[in-house]
Order: sequence, then C-alpha cells, then structure tokens
Amino acid sequence: MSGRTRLAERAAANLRRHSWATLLIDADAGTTSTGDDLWRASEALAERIAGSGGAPEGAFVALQLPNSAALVAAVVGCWAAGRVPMPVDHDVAPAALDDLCRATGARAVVAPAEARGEVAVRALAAPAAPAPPTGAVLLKVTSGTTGEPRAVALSDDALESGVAQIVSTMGLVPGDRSLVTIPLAHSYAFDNVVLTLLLYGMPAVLARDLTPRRLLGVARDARATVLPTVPFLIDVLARSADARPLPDLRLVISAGAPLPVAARERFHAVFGLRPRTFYGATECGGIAFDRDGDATVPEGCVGTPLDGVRIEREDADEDGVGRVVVRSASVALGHHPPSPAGSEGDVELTPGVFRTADLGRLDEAGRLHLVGRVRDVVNLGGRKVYPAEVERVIRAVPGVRDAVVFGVARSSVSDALRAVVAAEPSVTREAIAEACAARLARFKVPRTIKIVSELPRTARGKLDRRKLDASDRIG
Amino acid sequence: MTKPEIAHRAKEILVSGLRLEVTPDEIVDSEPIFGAGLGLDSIDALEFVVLVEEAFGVSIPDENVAKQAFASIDALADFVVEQRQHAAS
Repeated sequence: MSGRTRLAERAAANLRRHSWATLLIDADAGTTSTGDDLWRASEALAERIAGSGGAPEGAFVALQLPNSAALVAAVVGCWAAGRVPMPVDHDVAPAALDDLCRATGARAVVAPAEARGEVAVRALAAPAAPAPPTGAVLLKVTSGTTGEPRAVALSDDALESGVAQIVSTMGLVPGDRSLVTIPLAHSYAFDNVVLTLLLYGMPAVLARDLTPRRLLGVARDARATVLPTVPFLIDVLARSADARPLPDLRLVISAGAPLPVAARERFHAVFGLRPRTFYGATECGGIAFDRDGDATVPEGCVGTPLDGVRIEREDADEDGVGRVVVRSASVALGHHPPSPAGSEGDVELTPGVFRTADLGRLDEAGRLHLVGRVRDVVNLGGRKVYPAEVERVIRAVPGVRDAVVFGVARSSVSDALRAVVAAEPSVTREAIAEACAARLARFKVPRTIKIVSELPRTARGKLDRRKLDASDRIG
Repeated sequence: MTKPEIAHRAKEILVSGLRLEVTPDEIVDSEPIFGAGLGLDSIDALEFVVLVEEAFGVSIPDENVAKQAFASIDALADFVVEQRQHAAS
C-alpha cells in the first residue's frame, strides 16, 4: 500500500519474523498471541478501516481499546492501511472523546464490539481541524500543562529513535519479557512495551487485574523480567503479605510520578532489587534514567540522560537550576492542534528540541535532579518557594509516603503555603511542621498541613490538582 | 473475633488506613465500600487489599474475590469469618 511508512514495514517484517513466537500473553483472558496472530489481526483491521469509507489515507484513527492484543494489532493495522493511530484511554468519557476527535480531526474510532474479542470501526464526519504536521505516523494524547487534552504528532524517525534509546539505555534484550500494569495507550507504555514488541520482538504479558497476590502470581508464572510501572503499585506490591523475591525479575522501572526513596528502599528490602526512576514526557519520550540503582540516589534525582539525549538548562540561576530542555532525535514534530504560543510556563516543541515545564539542575556526575515545575513557583509576598524543595523535606519524615506543596490564597493579594501529605496514621501534623522548621527557612514552612492516606492522582498517575483543591475545601 | 467485631475493626482500618474524613460509625454495613459514597477509587481498593490481608490474616487472590469481599462491610465480615473457619478446619 502506498501510504506505508518505514516504521510500518519494520513492524510488519518483525511480526513475520516472529510468526511462531508468543509475543503477547493476556494473563486475565488466558490467551496468547504469536507474531502471526497479531499480523493477521492487523491485516483484517487494515481492510476494515480502508473499507469504512469515512477515513481516507493519512486520516487519524482513535483507538479506544483496553490493554489487549487487539490494541497492538490495531496500531499495526492503521499503519498497514496508511492511517495514523491515536490510542486513547479505553474508559475515556464519551464527551471527552468527542472533543478530542473534533480537535484533532480524527475520522474514525476503533472500539470493542458487542461480540467478545471483536472490534468495531465507527466513521466520523470530516471536521474542521487544523492541518496536522506532515510526516506524523502516531498521535499521542497528552493532558499538557493546562489540562486541556491535546495530542502530540510523532514521525517514524522520532519513534524509532525513542525506542532505540530506551532499549540501549536500559539494556533490554530479546529474552526480556515485560509485565504490563500501565495503559499501553499512554506514551510511557507505548514506547516501553508496544514499540519494543513491534520493533524488537520483545514479548509482553498484560495484567489488568492489579490485586497484589494476583499480579505477583502472574509475574512468577510468566517469568517476567521487566516491570515498567508507577510508584503507587511499587508501594502496594512491597507491602503485600505475599511479597517475596521474583527470581526472573531483573528490572523495575518507575515513572509517571516521583518515587519516594522510602518506597524504593522498602521494595528493595522485600524483592532484592531497586526500582529505577525513568523520567520522560509525551513530547519527547524518555529523557533520563537511574542507571546506578543504588541506595545513595537521592530524592528528586531522575538519573542521567538516555543514550542519544542531551539535557540543557535554560536561564539557570546561581544554584544551576533552570528549565529542562531536551535535545533528541526522539522529539515529536509538534502539538496537534498547535498550542497558543507565548504563555509563560508552557512547554514548547521545535524540531529536535523540547522545552519542558520542569526545573532541574545537573550534578557533577551528570545526573538530573528535578526541583519543580516552571509554573509551580509559589510567590509569597515577593519571596519565592519551589514547592519541590519543601516536598522533599516532608517526604524524608519517617512514615510519609508522598507529599505535595502548593500555594493557596490567603487574601486577595497574598498566597500561603499548603502541604497535603500521604502518611501512616502515626504521623502528626506537628512532626511535619517540626521537620520543615528544622531544615527550611521560616517562610518555607507550610502554613497549613493536611494528612491523607493517598494523594489524588489521575488515570495517568499525575497529581489531580482539582481533586486536591476540592478535598481541601471540605477539610 | 465475632462477625460484629470484624465489621467494626474493618471500618476502623478503612477510616485510619485510607484517612477518610468520616468516623467508623458513619459507615453503613450494608452499603458498597468502593465506587459510591466514600469517594474511593481503584487505587484505594488495592491499598485496602493490603490492609485487610495484614489485619485479618486472610488471602485476597484476585479482583473477583476483592469485588465480592468489598461489596459491603457486611460482605467483608462474612468473607473474613468464612476464610478463618476454612483455615481452622
């Protein structure tokens, strides 16, 4: 087919090369898929998309599918048909999906059909969306810094470079097998799982049931060697009554949110290996990785740049803290639809360069330490506080699992610092305040402190600030 | 431990472990624990699995069992009583 890109050819060739090999195990459905199974499913879908009438060549196709063989096949099927896949959360609200499709100009939605294991293709009317960047082969959905859902358009060069950087930096080999606990539709798992499967033939085990005993059993039975996951699951697994070392597991990757050192060390005490922090963004894929994996890696350190990635700091202050800027062949073509330019604190994509909204500094060993977000500087009557600095102090208090510090209005002209802390029941507000007073300038000690069991997080594992504010009003 | 004692302890664990802003007595034994009034989500549910296993020495092997056991405080107390009888016999 004329619209087939190099990436599509490479994925197709790889699936054929692994015709007889089991590439995907769906632990909950009890099914396995070989390269040939995935290839045939993708060809069938390619025909249906091409025949659906609504979506011409080059059109965007939303894939609203849970973690499954069908999702992987649908990605390849779109490529085979010369369409551009846009994976979305399978449980996305209908109105949010409509908005996203309208904004991006998607022409079809692939979703589960009534019949078990089947998918349905629904064509959408031609929308009046802006023209996408040329050369896009994938749209990744991102919440962005403003919370407004939009997509990031990636070229095949960017995707191939991104996954090559991950494979090389993390030392992934064909014998590895990932245990998947995170949504394949999100950038993190798309790169670490879907692309390592399609381009490197690395098998994946899908687990939708995350009950600790069940997940540990699946990991054991499937002999998973790599676990790309998120901090809250790392914490829950380490505290499970069934937790004991998994002999085949050699690499646990933590991304999406900061991993508290206490949670990392508790996991290490039980499983004998230390989760490695992986820092990345939808706009550029992986940025940095904790290559050391030793006990001395401090809170906030996200490791050294991935192979092929250069990290710079823009407008660094006297402490070396500046906006993190990423130079890499894995940087996306652009946002789609494009973001309104010029707003302070917004991320920015230009060819090969991604200006993040994160603030960081580099140490002598070349490791990146994140200290906050560009937007997250709280101004207390002219004195500036980076919440991350206060959060680090609070996270070091014994019994504290996680913390977030932010500014709340104390009057119409002034903000006060507020801390919401996820901690064991034994931790008191007084203990938190004392720890802050002992290590921070007086004005950096939060004025109000609230203790909760868990910080509210979105489906993407990001802090849910709206929920946080709502719970604050009640508390 | 009798069933009412288990139910009471379960509510205490729920409130203290998940830091709910209600008292144990305000939780209705027959109402769903998750997905309704208390505003708890799937992350809370995984957390509660770990807490319940630890407190009562029971085993929650998968999501289906968790869903049944967490249908209500009543259901959870029945589940704990049953598992303990099973373990004792």
